[in-house]
Amino acid sequence: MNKPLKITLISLGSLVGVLVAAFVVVFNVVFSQERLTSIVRQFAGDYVTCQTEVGSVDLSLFGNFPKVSLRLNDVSIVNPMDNAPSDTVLSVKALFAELDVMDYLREEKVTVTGFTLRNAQANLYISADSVANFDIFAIESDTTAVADTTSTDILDQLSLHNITVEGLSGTFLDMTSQMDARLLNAHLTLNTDASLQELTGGADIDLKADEIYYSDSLNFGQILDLELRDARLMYDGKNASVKVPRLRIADQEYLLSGDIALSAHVWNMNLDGIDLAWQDERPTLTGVTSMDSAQVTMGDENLMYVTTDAVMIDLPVTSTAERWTTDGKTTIKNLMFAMDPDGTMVDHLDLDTRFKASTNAQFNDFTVTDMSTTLGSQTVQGNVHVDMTDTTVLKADVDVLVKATSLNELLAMIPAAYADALKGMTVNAKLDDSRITAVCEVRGDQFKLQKTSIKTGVHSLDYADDAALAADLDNVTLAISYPAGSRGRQFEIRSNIEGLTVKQHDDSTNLNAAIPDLKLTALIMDDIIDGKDPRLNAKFSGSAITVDMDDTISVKITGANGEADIDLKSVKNCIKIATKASLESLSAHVGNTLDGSTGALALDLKALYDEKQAEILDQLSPEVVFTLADGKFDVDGIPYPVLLPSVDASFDKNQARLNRCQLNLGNSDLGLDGVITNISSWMKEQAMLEGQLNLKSQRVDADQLMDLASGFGVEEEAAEEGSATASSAAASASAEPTVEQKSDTVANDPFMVPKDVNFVVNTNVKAVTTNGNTFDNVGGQLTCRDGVLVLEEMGFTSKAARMQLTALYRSPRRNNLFASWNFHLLDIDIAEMIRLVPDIDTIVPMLSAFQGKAEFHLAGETSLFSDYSPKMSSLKAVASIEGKDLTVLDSETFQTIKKYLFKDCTTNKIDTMSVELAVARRKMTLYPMLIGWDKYEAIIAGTHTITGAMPFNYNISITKCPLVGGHLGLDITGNIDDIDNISFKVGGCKYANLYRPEKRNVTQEQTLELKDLISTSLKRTVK
Amino acid sequence: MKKLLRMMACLIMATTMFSLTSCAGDDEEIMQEDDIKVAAEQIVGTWQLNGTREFWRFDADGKGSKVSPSHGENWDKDEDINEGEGNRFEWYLQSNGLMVTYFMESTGAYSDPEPDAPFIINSITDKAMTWTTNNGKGTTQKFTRVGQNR
Repeated sequence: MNKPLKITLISLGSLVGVLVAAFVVVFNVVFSQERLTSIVRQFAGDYVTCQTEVGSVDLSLFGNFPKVSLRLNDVSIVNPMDNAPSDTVLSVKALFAELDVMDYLREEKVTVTGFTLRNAQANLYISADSVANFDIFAIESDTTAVADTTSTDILDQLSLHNITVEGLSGTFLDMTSQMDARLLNAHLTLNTDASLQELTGGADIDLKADEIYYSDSLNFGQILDLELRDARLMYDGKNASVKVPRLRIADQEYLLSGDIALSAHVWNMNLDGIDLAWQDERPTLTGVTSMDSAQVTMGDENLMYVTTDAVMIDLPVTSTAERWTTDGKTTIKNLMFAMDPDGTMVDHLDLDTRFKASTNAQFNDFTVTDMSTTLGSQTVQGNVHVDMTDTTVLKADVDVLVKATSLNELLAMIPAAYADALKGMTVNAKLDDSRITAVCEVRGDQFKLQKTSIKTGVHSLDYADDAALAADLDNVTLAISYPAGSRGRQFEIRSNIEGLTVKQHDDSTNLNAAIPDLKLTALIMDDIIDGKDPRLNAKFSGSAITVDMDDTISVKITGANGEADIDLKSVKNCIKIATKASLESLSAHVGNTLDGSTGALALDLKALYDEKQAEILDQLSPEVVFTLADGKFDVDGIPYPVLLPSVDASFDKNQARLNRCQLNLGNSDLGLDGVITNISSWMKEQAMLEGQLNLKSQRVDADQLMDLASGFGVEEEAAEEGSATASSAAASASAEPTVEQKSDTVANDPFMVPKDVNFVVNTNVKAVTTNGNTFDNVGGQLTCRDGVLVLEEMGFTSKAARMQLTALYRSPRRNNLFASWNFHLLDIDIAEMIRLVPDIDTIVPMLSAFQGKAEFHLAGETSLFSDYSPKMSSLKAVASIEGKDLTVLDSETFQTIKKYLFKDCTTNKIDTMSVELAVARRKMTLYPMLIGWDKYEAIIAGTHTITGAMPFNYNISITKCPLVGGHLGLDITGNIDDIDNISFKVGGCKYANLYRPEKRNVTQEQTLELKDLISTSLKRTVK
Repeated sequence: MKKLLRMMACLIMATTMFSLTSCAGDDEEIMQEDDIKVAAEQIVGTWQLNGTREFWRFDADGKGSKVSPSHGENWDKDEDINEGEGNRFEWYLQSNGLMVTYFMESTGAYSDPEPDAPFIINSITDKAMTWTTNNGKGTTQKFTRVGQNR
């Protein structure tokens, strides 16, 4: 180096040295600690309104040149307030500010480029009066202008590129919102090139804190041991990105706000590789959040509770200008979910879900596709689309498939708490894939379902339990679709059942039931969605249903079809029902009681159920049409099969109509049709039950029907054996059983004629057989009215005679019944008449001595005991027999009479005979009967008692006798029971003057009047 | 001879017949007019046949004469027949006694004569009555009054 250069460098160096020395001298003089401290204190005093302490202030010029570090030591701001946890608002051990000298030299501006805080404690407090203890900066009179200017000035003075916080702890208490927060030992390193004024730029962040705590009246959060490393944030005013290579939260516990207070407890949560970018107004997210080897518990044991062993969430987001999409997956290990303390709904199952989701940039059009969620062994797949692009309506489209599984696998998912309900049951079944689709929209508060479809099924089901109940089902399918029906406003539900059998075999029950196939279809109006009363139509059909029980009852139905309409809407507060059902055949067997079968059976039922009505018929308002064909029943106690070849009947609450009812019983066939009215009024006791029926028959076997009818209502004598024994002793002492015996020995239940009915049955029977006789064209009218049963003008013909019968039956009292009859036999053969009416022989025993044609009239009545035996004291009868050209039968009796009165040659022929007789008070009176006989004329009269030994006393008065030319009498006495010991005594002619008016006495006159009275009163009743 | 014997037999027989022919049928009991009136009044009421539970009631709704008969009822409690359920009858008194004719619903008329009538009333007081039946044996029956005169 030459000397001039050397001298120049030495001179420059000296100058620089002098300058530096001078600068150092000046700097140390101007920026000494004491000086700076004093300046800062003064500055603080001007701008901070409360007590501020600054320990010391150091300025470091050269440590980070051209940046200058200003260090404040032991800074504390004290602002005492009532109820504040601490008077000290802020205490800082050391506060560093990095200043840019070049900005000052160029623009005379102090710019803070870095900030470091060490060992700081902040205690922020807002009182209930909304006074904050950190509101400590001085404000000029023009507050707004000063504040705006101040904030602008502060930001202008900040150009932070790095912030370091070491050991920051603080509390924040806001009494106005009951908010409490704290930070414990936080360490933050933030390097940024962001512009605070423009809020753009990037930052690298490392954060660590021992505790972050927050709570208010609803929420609570606490994060312990938080560590965030190498996070990178970037925002350029338009685009942003967040990279979180690692976020670890060792332990956190926080409450989630909402209607239900829940708590969540998470251990060892790691965010690994989260990379979020916001670019061109679109996000991109990659990374996985996992809580491996951690346990998550959320919720409240009393409300809702969730625990897991590990959660992994992978939700990468990509985006285009139109849509944001994610292809996410979540895995939860050992999930347990409970809604209440009593049990869990999901118990220790693994959940795995994958899906693709996307939304438009406006977040009003969402789709989820290829969703597959597996919980335990169950998998659900599907797609969902929600469209809210039209702000007035929300549209949703759902398509979900529940994969086929076995019932065992489903049952295995049942939590242990509920598994007890299945104790003792064994169930196996295979569930088919189940598909659910739905399209709906919501406008305001109006929900509208546009379409839906559900299909599912079960097959190979076996069920058994410890109650010995077992069931097998080959296959059942269920399909629901909407819209359906003729107007597209109905849900259609279809179900097919195949191969259903149910069995129960234990000590008390032996049941087998089988339904080979059953189809069900239902249509439900979509009103039900709006919660309106439903309207339902259902159809069913099945080839057969069989039920066998206890080896005594069996029922088999074939060809069952039916339809039902149930409508809860059309009529307010009522249920409208219309059903139709038909069977091809029905067979039923009930032990030894019933064995029956039918052919086609159909039922048509309409009803309007109104529970407010009092009477059952008014409650139901039924309308029923019933038809039956080929019914055959063997009933215990009925010796003949009961055949119902056809039944066609209908009824409603007011009337019942028999359109056709054919009953065949033994040798009898009965066809009934007619109508019964006033049913409802009768049941309310407001009117009489009226009926108009017609009975038609080709043949009636009266003996068979009487045999069937007798004994109805009569209980066994064995039940009354005790009283019978006591009564029998009394019976032995009297000829007739006492009234007590009659009413007590056998507990009878006679037919009591109802008093509030008015029935007319018109009969038309082609032939009635009874007692070996046949009566043709039996027709008449049976009336039941007001407690009286009347058989009116029943006419019939037989080979023997024309007949007419009117009978009456009344039941005023159970043990005092009443019967009367009016019977006419016209052109009757006497022998035939006795054969038809055997009792005539009892009443008129001598009638059997005659043969030939006669006319017979009989009227009688009697009160009856409850066993229908007559009360003899009340038995009354009058009879009239007129005969012409009769012949006296040649008998031993007649031979005796001949011996006394006539010649051998006297013939048996009688020209005329007129008989009147009367029965009353146990006696029969034969009024003087004039017999014209050849040249003879005789009058026969007498009485006989019709009870006991039946003693009789007759007199034959010969009023015309060529032999003796005078009058002769013969008295015949004896007992009917001892006919071999009849006494014949020649006696007086009692009735010599009966037909001589000039010689008749009062009694004889009276006798003839009575004869005429009897005859006239009887003949007057002949129709 | 044979012919003579037959004629004698006939003569004897004829004589016998004539002697046997009687007016027995013409003989009848007669009640006097005064007795009839008294009986018609006194019989009104309810009577019990002694030794039985058979009751007779005679009403005074007519005059008790053939022209204007009265009515009544009899019933037998031994057969569980009560008053109102028994045999309704029409009665009147005339010279041959008390005539009773029962009403029959089946003919709609009083058309069934009492077999033992006409009854000859032997005595009748406020408490007791006896009559004789017309049953050929002349049986006497005694009654005790049990009800008020109607």
